[in-house]
Amino acid sequence: METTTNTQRLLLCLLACSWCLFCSRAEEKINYADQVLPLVEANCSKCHNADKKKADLDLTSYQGTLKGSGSGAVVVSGNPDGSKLWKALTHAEEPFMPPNRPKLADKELEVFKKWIQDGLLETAGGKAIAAVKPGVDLALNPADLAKPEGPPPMPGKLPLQPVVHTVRMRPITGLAASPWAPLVAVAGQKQVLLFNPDTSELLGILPFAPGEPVDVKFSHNGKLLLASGGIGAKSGRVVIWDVVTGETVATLGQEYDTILAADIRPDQSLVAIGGPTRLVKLLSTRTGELQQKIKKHTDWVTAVAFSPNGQMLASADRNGGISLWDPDSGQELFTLAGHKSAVTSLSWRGDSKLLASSSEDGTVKVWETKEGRQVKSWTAHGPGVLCVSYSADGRLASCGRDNHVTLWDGNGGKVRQFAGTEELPLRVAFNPDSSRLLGTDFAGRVTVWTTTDGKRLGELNANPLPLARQVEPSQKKAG
Amino acid sequence: MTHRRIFPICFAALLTSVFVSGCDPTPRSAQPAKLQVYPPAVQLESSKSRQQLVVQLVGADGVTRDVTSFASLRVADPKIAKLKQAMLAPLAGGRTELRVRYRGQTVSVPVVVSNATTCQPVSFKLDVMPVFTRAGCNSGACHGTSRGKDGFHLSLFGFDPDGDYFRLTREQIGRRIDLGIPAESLIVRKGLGAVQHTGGVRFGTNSDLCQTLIAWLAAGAPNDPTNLPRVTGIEIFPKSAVLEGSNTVQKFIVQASYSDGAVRDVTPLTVFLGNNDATARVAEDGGVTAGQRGEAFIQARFGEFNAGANIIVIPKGLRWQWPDVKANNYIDEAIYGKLKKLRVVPSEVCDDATFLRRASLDITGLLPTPEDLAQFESDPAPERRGRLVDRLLRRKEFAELWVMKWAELLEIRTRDNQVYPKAVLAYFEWLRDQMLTNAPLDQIVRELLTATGSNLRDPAANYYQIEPDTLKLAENTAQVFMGMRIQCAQCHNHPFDRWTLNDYYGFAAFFAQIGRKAGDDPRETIIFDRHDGEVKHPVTGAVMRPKFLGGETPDLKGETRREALAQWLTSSQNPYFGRSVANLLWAHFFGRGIIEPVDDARLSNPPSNPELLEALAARLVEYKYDFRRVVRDICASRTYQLSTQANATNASDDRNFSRAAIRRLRAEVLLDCISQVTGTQDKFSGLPRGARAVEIADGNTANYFLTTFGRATRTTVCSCEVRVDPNLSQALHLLNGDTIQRKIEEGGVVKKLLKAGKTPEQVINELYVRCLTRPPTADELRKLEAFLTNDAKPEQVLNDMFWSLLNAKEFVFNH
Repeated sequence: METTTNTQRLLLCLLACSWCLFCSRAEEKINYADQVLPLVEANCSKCHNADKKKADLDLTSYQGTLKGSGSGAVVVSGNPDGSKLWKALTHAEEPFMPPNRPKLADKELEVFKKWIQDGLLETAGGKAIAAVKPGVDLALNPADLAKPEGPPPMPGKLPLQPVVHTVRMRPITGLAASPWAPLVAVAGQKQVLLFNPDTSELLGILPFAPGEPVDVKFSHNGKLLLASGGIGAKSGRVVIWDVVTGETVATLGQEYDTILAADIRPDQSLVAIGGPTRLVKLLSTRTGELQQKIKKHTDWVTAVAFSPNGQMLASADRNGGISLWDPDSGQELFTLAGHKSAVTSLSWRGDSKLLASSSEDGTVKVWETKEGRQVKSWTAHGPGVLCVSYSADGRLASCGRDNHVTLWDGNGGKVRQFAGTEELPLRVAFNPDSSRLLGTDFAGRVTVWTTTDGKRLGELNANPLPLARQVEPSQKKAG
Repeated sequence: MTHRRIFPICFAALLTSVFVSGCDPTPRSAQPAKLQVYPPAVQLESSKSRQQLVVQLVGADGVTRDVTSFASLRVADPKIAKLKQAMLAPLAGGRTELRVRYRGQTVSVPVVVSNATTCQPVSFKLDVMPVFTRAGCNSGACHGTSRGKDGFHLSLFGFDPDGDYFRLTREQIGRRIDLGIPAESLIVRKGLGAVQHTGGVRFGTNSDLCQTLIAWLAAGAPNDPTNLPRVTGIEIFPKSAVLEGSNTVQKFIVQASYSDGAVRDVTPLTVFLGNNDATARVAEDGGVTAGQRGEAFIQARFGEFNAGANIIVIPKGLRWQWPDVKANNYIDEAIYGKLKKLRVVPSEVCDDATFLRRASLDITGLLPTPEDLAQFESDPAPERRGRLVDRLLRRKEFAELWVMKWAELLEIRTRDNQVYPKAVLAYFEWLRDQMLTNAPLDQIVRELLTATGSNLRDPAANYYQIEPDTLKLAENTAQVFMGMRIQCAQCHNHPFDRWTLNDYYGFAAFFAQIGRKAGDDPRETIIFDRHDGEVKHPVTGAVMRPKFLGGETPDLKGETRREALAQWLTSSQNPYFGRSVANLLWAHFFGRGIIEPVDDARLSNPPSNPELLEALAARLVEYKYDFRRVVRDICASRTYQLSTQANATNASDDRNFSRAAIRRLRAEVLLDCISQVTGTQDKFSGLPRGARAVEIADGNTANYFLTTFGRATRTTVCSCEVRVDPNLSQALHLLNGDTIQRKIEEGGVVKKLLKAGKTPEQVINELYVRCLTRPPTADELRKLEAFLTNDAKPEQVLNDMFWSLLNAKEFVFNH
């Protein structure tokens, strides 16, 4: 008789289980009381309980969890990536939880993720909390790009005589494309070179008197070109040229080490600079005077970038820190925390709504700038990302220490990888109609690819021979 | 094809400093002197190769002279190599020899030249990395710290060349190197001090260092192909010098050997460091200038390798005569050899009573009783000291003293939930059995290292229970049985020794396969070999094959890793074990090791008398590690029997054993002696009443007296655990604490003596002999008797005198 009883029990069990399965399928949504709390009790309640409240956080009650910790909310309805709890549990961000232990099992993590996605339900019958929208719509409206009227400025007849020609080249750390004209600027050796990316034609060479240029930028209207640099551990300056005439408009800055990053505000009133001093300085383009001195970064400032609408300045450092500033007051608008290692570049999307950052931690992160939240993060180049750049149509290109150059869609979906460079790729930039991608590398090469099929079109020679020697061979040929 | 290693070396600066023109001041001596030429062989393997030569004259009196500039140097075949002063440069491939003649003596050095007209490319590891060491860039105070300096990190003394290559070329891209215009690279400008640099100027524009860097950058800053030979070691020449008179000079040169068998002069890329500038100041080029009288050690560092040379400086024209003192045995011979070089005369031999007290304390940890004194004095004078030592060595207290000493090194103590009292007692008893049965030390060590089984039934297995951590086990094994601290090499190459990360993790690999599982008894752990488990290199992540420290990678056929290690460690292939044990023994009898601290043998901490250490180690092997016999030799030496009284020549000597050291009794011995003379007993937890402090099995046994007097906590294997430096709480404890007063009353020694009918004078005499192994002097007796007159209670007064004796320095110290 015993056997029968056991069989009956088993059947009952099975029935119960399948019923359960059925309800969970019907009821799919995760709620705090039934699914989250048991995990909290098993993993978190030792510290984050109502009595101990480590970091002022009580996860053992629904209200406590919503209230968050001493540093704010830990869950954002509908946005796991923006929730501190999720980032801590997935070890995406310090402090890693649970402390000194491996991550929770994927199945358990999934519960937390779904619970946040589903709207933070309290009980099975509870009501979802309205999802907080991730800031902005990721779609780009071309009307927001604010293209200036009239034909875009192109260089007139500029000198083509190089300051120096060397056997080997230094790595090219500065590359910029005019937002409107078929024109790119390359930081060469003691000079900035201008090319037409569509024809690969050298359009001009602008000597950089202060030393070696590190960073180059075009003004938003494409009329001015700026280069920052100097002599390492000695001096740093910014030089601004008129793109059409090639004349030096201004030389700014009085730094005692090279200037690693600089940008000019779209209204051309201010230049922002940053470097080993850890300071971000805002200089008046008219007088050269210091307007703001921003003391926040804890390591070398590696990138500065004004938003295309001119209302914000983003700056980043070698410690992984990014901040958004009001350029007029010098007040910090947001701290964009998330990178675990040096930030290597910043790039604004044309509508000023999104900012992309690249880091040695291997990720590219995208931030919305209205509320200063991270909206996307993906591993772009595992060993470290060296540059990320937005195209006018809202896609991104990046390059990194895996020696790859990659094109991404606006959501971080991989579009294609470009034909590999032999040497470490350092900088990438699109031409204005996003049809071409340019990339520089450690050996001093500038490569041009088409974005539609990833084909390598050729190279721009950033180390041209002196004019006399350029002529020689053709003369010989003629002779 | 061979690769040239030392890229452009401009010797012009060097040449000027080497040659001091003028007449040869070397005195002509009737006694023969020996001419030595360094290096012993020369190889020149590229057009840029050079070899500096040094000629040294070693006098019969031990004084050395650098006669390089006064000797006549000649290349036998002038078509093969040319000499510019004492620098040899290649001309054409082939073999010849260099003939050095000085005052009638001739020495020849073979010279081999190849690739005389080709210049090899610059190698990052072989040429560029040494630049950073030589210029001091990667030192511990600069970019070599773990976080680097001013944002730039180099591995300490270059232990991680691949990491350094990345940091130099690709970490902060565009900043540190400029391949377009190499001379404008930040690393060059920083080194030249041309831009702001916290470290200041490190080299000049025309220096080899700067030119090597620029040449490497001009070549595109390439990394090395993987098949390049590596440096396998360096040698310094000469290895020692005895310089007479201040401002005497001696040039040192350094040769590196490579994995392809080549050797090179790397002197221009070597960092020279001295430990005593007042005695011997070493210049950047390896030239040493003598200063005041004393000893100094010169350390040469090339890349990640170190070598050292000893220097003695004696005053010029010192009036000095070696006395006619007999050498009792090989120990004295070695000691005298060094003292003669130093022009130091040993002290007189101590008197019999002092010797009796000293030997009793050192050998048994107890004071001689009045009966012992009587017996000693009844022996005939010539043999009485030897007979005493033999008598003392036969006592069980001798073995017990060494049980304690080894128990400290083996950290025998209870640990919560890990080492239970039962295991501690078993371990201690096992050790005691070994010592009492006079088991050879090498056998004991082998048994410890290969121990398997239950830590309760096979107590030696506790060696792996007390310290479960693989790396710590490796460190402890090196420290206890080889007398060296390899801890530094856990994170970076040892800055002052030869040990690299490879050595460290290769050695640790011997302990990687030890298994531990619970036994039936909850207090029990079973130690076994898992035949599985590896140690990984922290930088490269490579699995490390077990490699003997300073030895080979063994073939482990049919042997566990620990068996192989135990065999090697105690074999003649390992020079460190014998030396370390010999040093440990020596330190016990002299209060200072030949290498001091005893467990810190390293290149930059050389033995004060290497010959003595070698001789003792050789005897240990000869005696099959019966250390009693070495102890007998030590006690028989005249050196051990010297007085503590200094003479005019040795007052400042604290390391060459020219006189006996005054040593405070260590905590356990002091307590035992106090109990002994007061006729009292102590009770330690876990031991029967009357057991001596020396017999404490568990290092955690609480005792205020012992703690105050600095007994070892047995929490580490460090020799620094036992502290014999005096402090205030010790003095206060003896003066005001209850130990002495209580013991005097409890023991009632005075009362018993008076009861036995002794007069107060006799009692004073007895107390003196008990405590100090000598009767009071007439002066002392007269002063003490003054207290006894007109006193109705002599017991009280005599007890006070007893108290005073126990508080006297003469009691607390061994002298």
